[in-house]
Amino acid sequence: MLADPVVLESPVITIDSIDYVCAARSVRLIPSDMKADVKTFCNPGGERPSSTTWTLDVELLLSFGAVNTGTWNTLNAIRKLRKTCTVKYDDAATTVSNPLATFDIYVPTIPFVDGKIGDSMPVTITAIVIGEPVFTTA
Amino acid sequence: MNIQPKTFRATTDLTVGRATFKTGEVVPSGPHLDRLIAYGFVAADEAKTTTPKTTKEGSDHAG
Repeated sequence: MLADPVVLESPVITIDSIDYVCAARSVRLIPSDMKADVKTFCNPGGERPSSTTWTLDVELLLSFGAVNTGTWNTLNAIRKLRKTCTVKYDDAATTVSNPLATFDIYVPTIPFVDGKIGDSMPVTITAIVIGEPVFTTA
Repeated sequence: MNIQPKTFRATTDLTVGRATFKTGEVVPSGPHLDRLIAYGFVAADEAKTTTPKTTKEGSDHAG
C-alpha cells in the first residue's frame, strides 16, 4: 500500500546553510532527462533516457537588511559562487518518509528591485544543479 | 598535497543518480566523491593507528 500523499506546508530550503523558508513561497527541484538517439533498423523510432539535469527554482520575496536577514543582501553576497543547498518537504527529521536532497549550485545574481506600486517583490532563483542531488534518508 | 585514503564508506543511506549506498557500504571513487565527502555523507576509513606498548616496570611499591 502506498503512503498518503504529502502536502507542502513547512519545507526546508537552505542555500549556504541559510534557511529561506520564511521568505519563500514556492520551491521546485525538477529533473530533466536528456534523450539519446538509439535508432536502428530494428528500432527505427528508438530513443532512451541519457543524462539528467536537475534545476532548482525558488520563488522568494525580496527584503533588505543585514546579511542573513535581508534576502537580497544575503544572496547578493554569494552571487556567482558555488554553494551547497538542501531541500526537503518537511522540517521534521530526515527519514525515509522525509528524504533530504543535498546539492551544489552556482548562485545566480538576483534582481535588486522588481515590482509595482504597493506590491511585494517576488523573485525567482533558478539554478542548474551541479551533478545530481544526493538523497539521504537518515 | 592532499593524499586521500583509498577506501570511503557511506555514513548514511544515500542515493546519487542511479547509485544507492547503504550506511557503511564502500563508495567507489568517481566524479561525485569529492562532493559527498564535503557534504559529510561519505568518510574515509579510519587509518589504523598502532599504540606503542607500555611496559610496567618498577611498579613494585610496598603498600
